[in-house]
Amino acid sequence: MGMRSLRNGAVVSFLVGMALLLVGGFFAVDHVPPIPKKIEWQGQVLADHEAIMRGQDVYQRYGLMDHGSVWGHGSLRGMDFSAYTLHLLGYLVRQWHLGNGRSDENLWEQLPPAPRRELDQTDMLVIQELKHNRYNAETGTLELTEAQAYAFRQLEKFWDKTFGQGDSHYGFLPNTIPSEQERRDIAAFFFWTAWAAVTPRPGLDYSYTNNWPPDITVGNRASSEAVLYSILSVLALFVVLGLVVYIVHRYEFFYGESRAVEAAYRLMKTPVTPSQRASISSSWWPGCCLLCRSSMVACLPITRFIRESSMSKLWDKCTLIAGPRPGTCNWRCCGLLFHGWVRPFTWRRLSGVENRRASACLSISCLLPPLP
Amino acid sequence: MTVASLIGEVLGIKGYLTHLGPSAWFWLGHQGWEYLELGRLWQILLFGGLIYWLVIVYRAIAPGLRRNQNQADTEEDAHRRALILFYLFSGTFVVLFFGFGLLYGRGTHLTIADYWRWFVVHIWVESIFEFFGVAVISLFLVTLGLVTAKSALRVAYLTAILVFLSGIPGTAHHYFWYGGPSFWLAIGGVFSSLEPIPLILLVVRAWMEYKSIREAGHEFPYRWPLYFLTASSFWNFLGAGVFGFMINLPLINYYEHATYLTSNHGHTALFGVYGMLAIAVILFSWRGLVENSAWNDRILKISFWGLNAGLFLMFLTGLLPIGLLQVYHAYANGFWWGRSAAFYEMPLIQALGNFRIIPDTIIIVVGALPLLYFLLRTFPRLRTAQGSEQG
Repeated sequence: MGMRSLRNGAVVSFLVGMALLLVGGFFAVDHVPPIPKKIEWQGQVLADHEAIMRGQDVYQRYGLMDHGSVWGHGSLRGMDFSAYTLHLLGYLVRQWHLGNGRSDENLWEQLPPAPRRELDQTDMLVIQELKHNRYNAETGTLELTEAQAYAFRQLEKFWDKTFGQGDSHYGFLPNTIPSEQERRDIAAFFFWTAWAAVTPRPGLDYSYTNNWPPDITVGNRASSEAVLYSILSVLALFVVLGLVVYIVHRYEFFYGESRAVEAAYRLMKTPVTPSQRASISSSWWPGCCLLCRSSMVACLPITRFIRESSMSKLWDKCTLIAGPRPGTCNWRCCGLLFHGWVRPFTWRRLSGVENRRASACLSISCLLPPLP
Repeated sequence: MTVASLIGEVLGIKGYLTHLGPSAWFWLGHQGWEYLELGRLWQILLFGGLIYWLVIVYRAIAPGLRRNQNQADTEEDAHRRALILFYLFSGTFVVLFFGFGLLYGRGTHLTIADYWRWFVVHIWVESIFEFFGVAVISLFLVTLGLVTAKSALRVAYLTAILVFLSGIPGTAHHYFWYGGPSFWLAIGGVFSSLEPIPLILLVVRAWMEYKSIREAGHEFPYRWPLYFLTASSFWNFLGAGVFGFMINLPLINYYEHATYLTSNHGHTALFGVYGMLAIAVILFSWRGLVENSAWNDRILKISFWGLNAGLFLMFLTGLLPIGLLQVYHAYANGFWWGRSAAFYEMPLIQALGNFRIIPDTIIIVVGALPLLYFLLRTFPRLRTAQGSEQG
C-alpha cells in the first residue's frame, strides 16, 4: 500500500468524518425541540419563552449540571431532572384523572410516588394525553390540557420546596437557588425538558429526545430506529474489523520486533541538555496536584466522623452539599470527594479542563459560607 | 488562571456575582456546562495559552521542516518532513478543537450548545489525542534511529485513518438523546462501534512490548516507565474498547445512558489510559535525568501494582456491579427511579459504595504516595546537564 494512498486516506477520512458531523449538525439545527413562546391553558399563560430561558440560566449558573442531569447529560450522582419531572408529570396527570378533575392541591408534598411496574386503563389515558403534540408552530403556543396545567402548578411548588428548603437525600442545601422567581423559572425549564422528552415530533412516532428517558408510565420505550441501528452497528463492527485485520496482514503493518527496549537503551546514552534540566519544574505540577488531591481524600474519614456527630449542622453550613443524615446515603458526599482525585494524572492532556470540575470546586467552597 | 476560574465558579454558584451584571456568572463564574465549567473569560484565556503553546512547538520544529528541502532530497528526508508535518497538524488540531467550545454562548439552545461542547469533550479525547500520541511516538522512534521514517509514517497514517473515521463521526453517540434528530442514532451507533478496532490492534502490540521488557531483565533501566506504557495499552483495550463498546449500541445506551456503567467506562478509560500514560511519560523523561544509583525500581513496582490493582478493584467491586444493578432497576421501575435517592439508598448499593474506600485507599496509599515519594527522593539526585542543545 503506497504512501501516497495512505496519506490521502488519512486526509479523506478526516474530511469525511468532519463532514458527517458538520452536515449532520447543519440539518439538526432545524430539528431541535422548539421552545414555545407561551405555555398556556385556556388563555392563561403559565410560562413564556423568557421564563424557560431564564430557567436555563438558573440551571447553568448554579452549576446544577454538576449536581444532576438534564436529558442524561451531567452528574450521575444526583437525579436526572428531566426524567424526574417527566415521571412526576405523568403521575400528577394520572391522579387528576383518578380524582375526576377534583384535584388535590397539596399533592406536591407527597412526591415522589412509589415506582409502578403494571399499567392500567388510566395509564392508557395518561399516555394518550402526553403523547399528543399540542405545540402550534405558527403561533408558538403550547396549549396544555387541564390535567397538565394542574401538574405544571404542582411541579412549580415541588421544585420551589426542593431548591428552597433543600433536600438532604439529594444533597441540596436550603436556598440552593436563592430567589423564588428563579425557582419558578427553573421549574418552567424542567417542565419544558420533560415535555420535549415525551412529546412525539410532528408526524413521527418518537419524541424530541428519541423517547429518552425510558419510563413505561408515560409511554416512553426504545424507538424502532434504536433497534435498527443497533443491529447495523454490530454488523459494521465485524465487517470493518475483518477488513482491517486483512489489511494489516496483507500489507504487513506493525510487523517486526518491538523496539521499546532498544529505544530506551539508546536514550540512556544521550546526554542531558540544559533545556531538559530546565523543564524539570513542569514535572512538579502533577506531583503537587497529586498531593493536594490525595490529602483531600485523606480528610474523608474525618469529615464522615464530623457529619455523623453533633457537628453535622456545621458541615451542612460549610459545604455546597448538605451532609446526608447518618445511615442514609452517606457515601454520596464521600463519592463527590473521591470523584475528582484521579484527574491530576490527566491534567496534562486536557490542560486543566477536566480538573476544574465540581469536586475541585467543592473543596474550595468549603471556605465560604452560603448566602443568607 | 486555574485558581481564578475555580474561585469564580464558587462565587457564581453561591450567587456572589449578581452585582457585576446579568452575564457576570457566565463570564467569570460557573458557565454551567459539565467539563467546561470555567467561565467564558477563562476559557478564552486558556485558548490563548494553547495558541501560545502551538507557537512554541512550531518554533522548535520549523528548522526540521525546511531542512534539505532543496538539496539532494532523498526519499527518507521527504518522509521525515512529512512526519514532522503530521506532528504539526496534530498539534494544531489539539488547539483548534478547543476553540469549538467558544461557538455557543449564554442562552444558546440547549441542544446546539451541547453539540459544540462535545467537539471539545469528545473529539479531543477520542480522535485528536490519539492522533497526537501516534505522531509523538513515531517522531520519537525515528529520532532515535530505531525505525525508518517510512515505516513510522505508514503506521501513523493507518492509525489516523482508523481513529478519524471512527472517532469523529462517533461523537454523535453523545447526540442520541439530547434533542437531536434520529439520524444521529445511525451515525453515532455505526461509526463509534468501529472505535474498538484500533484498540484491538493495540493489544497485540502491547503484549509484544511486555514480552520484550520482561526478557530485558531486571537490569533494564526503563523497566517500569515502559510497564506503565503497557498498562496504558491494557486499559485502552479494557476500559475504552470493551467497556466503551458495551454501552455504545443505541438500544443498550437507551437504558444505560447516565448510569454508573458510563462511569465504569469513563474511569477505566480516562484514568487507565491517560493516567497511566501521563505517569509513563513523566517517568520516561525522569529516567534520563536521574542518576543510575538513585533510581529505585522497588518503589515503582509497588506504585505500579497499587495503581493498577486499585483501579481494577474499583471497577470490579464498585462501578461495574453498581452500574449493572442501576440499569436493571432503571429498566424495571423507569429511569427516574434508577437515579433517585431511593436507588442510591438501597443497602446493597450503599455497601458497595462504602467498599469503594478500599480500592481508593489502595490507589492513594499504595499507588500515588509511593510515586510521590519516589519523585521527591530522586529530585536531589539529578544528573548535571552536559552537551549543547541540538535541533
